[in-house]
Amino acid sequence: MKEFTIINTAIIEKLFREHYQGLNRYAFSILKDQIEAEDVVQKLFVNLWEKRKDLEIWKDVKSYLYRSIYNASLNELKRIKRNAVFEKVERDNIFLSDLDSSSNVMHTELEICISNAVQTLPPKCEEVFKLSRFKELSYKEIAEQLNISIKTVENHMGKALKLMRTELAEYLPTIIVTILLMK
Amino acid sequence: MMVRNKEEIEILIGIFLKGEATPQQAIELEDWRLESQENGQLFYQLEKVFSLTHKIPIFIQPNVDKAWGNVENNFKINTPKKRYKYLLYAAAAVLVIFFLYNGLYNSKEASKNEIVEIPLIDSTDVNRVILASNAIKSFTLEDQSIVNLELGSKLILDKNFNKKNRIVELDGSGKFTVIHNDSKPFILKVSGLEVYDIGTVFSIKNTRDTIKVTVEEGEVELRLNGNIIAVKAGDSAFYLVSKQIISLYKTPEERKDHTFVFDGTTLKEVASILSSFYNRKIEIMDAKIAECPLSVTFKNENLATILDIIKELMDVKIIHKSETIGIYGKGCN
Repeated sequence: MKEFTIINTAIIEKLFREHYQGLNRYAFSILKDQIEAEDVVQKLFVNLWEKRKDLEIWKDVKSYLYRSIYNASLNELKRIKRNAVFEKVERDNIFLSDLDSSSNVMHTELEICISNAVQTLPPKCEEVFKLSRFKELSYKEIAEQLNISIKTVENHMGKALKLMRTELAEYLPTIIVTILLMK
Repeated sequence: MMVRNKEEIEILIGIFLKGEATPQQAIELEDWRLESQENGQLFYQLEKVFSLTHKIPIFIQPNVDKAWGNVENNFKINTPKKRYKYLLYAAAAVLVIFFLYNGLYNSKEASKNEIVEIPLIDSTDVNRVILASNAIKSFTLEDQSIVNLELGSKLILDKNFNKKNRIVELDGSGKFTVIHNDSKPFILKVSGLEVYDIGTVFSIKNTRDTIKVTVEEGEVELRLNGNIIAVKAGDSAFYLVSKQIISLYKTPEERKDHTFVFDGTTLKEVASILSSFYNRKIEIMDAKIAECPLSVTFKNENLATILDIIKELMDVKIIHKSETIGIYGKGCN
């Protein structure tokens, strides 16, 4: 069935306002970088404007947007990883120089608290969490290393986050401040 | 959206925060997150925990206005001048045709209406789509039917509309003033339901779960799976999409029995029906109770009594505010 419609700026703007936050959050989850995430999403909408006559896009535009963000973010991630060594060094320098003595104290307290919280996790859960946190392994890599299914890894991580949320509950209101300082 | 329990959602959040969610999972989670404040809060807390424990920055809500400004500027830069010029000519031509058409054919009433976006191309091999993307739209179709399309709604005209048939498909809500034609009945399709006009003014309110058909003048027939239900002026019918059931309700003044029969009807659907029927905004405030089934029959009861009974049966809290009645609860009884 062929369909025609007029795609104008107003339609794109409506889509943009509806999905910008969600798409950004998705891009950020992959890239872990706010500026890169915003850049990827904004490029997508410029691209959408250029491709607006492609009817396939409009059949399920929400899926199209999320699929595009997924692909674009993975491509961007590959580019970032090529410079990983340099960026890691730079990030660590910023991290250390940005912390003043008082936030250093807070950071230490949090580190202790997190360390304690991690120790309260069930053994397998703790193992999965540490591989994710310290070795920065993907779920697939963790599954291979521990010889368990990806589904099991996902379950352990979900459980770990839930338990950590409870353990860290009283610190959560101060966490935002600390994380902002860490940026 | 797949219905998931809290544990499954927590796992999904973990996958998402790790950056391993598929596009479909991301959509599902975003829909869930926006469903209620409680969901948003849970997501936010887990996001914070993940950020802290994995030493990554926390996501900060971007400035949408500023971002849109950047994007829109790029539209202008990337729009070829020639194409722009052509579009201007095309728009002018369409406007001239539109005004001529209105002047020659439209009735006095129709001239009050305005086509915000004109259906494209009067062709024999394509369906035409009219979108009310950024405003409510009122327009007159070739058969002189007047349509008021609600914001975010879409109307698809069959490729042979007004030639061989008068079939339209609605995705959303709208009001239709239709002149009856025996040889070419006006047929509106919405979520599997077919509304056959028998000379009338009727409106469709589509909340995805329920579709309310209200007849202001004349009569329509609702056709579903071989069944036909007549809805006359003043009556309303509710189509429960998931169950493929149509319930007919007369207006409070005209209904003799004044009966609502709910049989395993979800609380979300009940709220939608009562909301439409009594013209009060009734909202389910906790997603956990939205799918709870209610089986009860109300006869000759006013809205306050109906809500009191629901409160008792479902163990929910009902809070009346100035414009909204909110239903709160922790889960199904």
